Amino acid sequence: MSEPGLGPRLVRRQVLVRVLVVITATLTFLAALTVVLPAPAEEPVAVATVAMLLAAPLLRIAWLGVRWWRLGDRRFAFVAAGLLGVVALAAVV
Amino acid sequence: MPPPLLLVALAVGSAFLGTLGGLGGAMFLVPVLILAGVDPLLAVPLGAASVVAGSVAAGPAQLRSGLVHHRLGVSIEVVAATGAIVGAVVGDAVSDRVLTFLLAGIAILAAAMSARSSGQFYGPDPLHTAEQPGEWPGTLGGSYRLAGEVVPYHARRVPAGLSLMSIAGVISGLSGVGGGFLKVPVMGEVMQVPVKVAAATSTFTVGVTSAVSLIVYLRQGRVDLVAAAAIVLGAVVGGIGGTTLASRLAPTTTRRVVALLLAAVAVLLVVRQ
Repeated sequence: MSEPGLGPRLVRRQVLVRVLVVITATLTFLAALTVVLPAPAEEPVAVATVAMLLAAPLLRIAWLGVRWWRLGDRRFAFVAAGLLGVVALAAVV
Repeated sequence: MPPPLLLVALAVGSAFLGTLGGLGGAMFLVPVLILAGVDPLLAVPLGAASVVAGSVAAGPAQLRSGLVHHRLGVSIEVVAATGAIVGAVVGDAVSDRVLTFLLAGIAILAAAMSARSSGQFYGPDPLHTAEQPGEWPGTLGGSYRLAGEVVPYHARRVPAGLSLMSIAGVISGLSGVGGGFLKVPVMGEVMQVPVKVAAATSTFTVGVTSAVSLIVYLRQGRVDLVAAAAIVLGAVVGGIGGTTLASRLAPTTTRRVVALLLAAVAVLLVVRQ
């Protein structure tokens, strides 16, 4: 008798978990590299670190919005899109 | 600005203590940076960077636990992130002295909130025993596992909760702290979301609020990118250390000791002025 598999909801969650683990590891590596590199070599790595730091939560919201849209949960897909709109507003204030 | 290695050490210590006390790393980091001689206008963005890093690092474990209510978190963030933009813009316009006093006041408020305990509003429901705990599509409700049983819940008084979340957002944008010390009680006591779900959802939402603040600070030219990267490293390392140790200590006593320490830092901040 085989083990019951993960439900589709849990499988999708596992994908997001793996993506976040990779992002955290990369973020930590880039941040450590910034600290050990001499000036001015650390500048572009610091830019990449902060860019990744900002991208991580936004990717998660976008991922959730797309997932809710596909599930037919349009109301919350629009809420996620609205939140990305607020983020865009922050970039132009 | 202190050298990167000192920033890493300060961020490790702050994230460690903040995680132990359930306050988040920035609550200690911003006052400590100011005490170390960093301009408050530059210390606040570093606090925000620490909050985003802590939230990103905590994400995988909290997703695995299934406790984060993403629909609630995203709904909260529409208003909290808007509040953060307002806070970040206002924070840039006030004097260093006013900003320092604001930070001290926020730290004392956080210490007081942290020392309190929150209640629980739901019990297990046999009708939900067979379901996989998690959020219910299309609603602000869901279920979570407590002592081996499935407990259903539903967010209540949503307009009142969202109004208070906008204030938490303004405070976050002004001070660079995550605002979890306000978000968790508002979710728990006003919206009647179970504390475990509220705490996990708050960790996700503070990362979004602080990311939005950080974008505004970048536009204002207030972010030292190399310092921010050093803080990110410290926040991730200190957060992991704090989480590991927190599970081995008595939560109430630890929270109260950390709250006292934070109050002492806040008083020191005021005295230094």
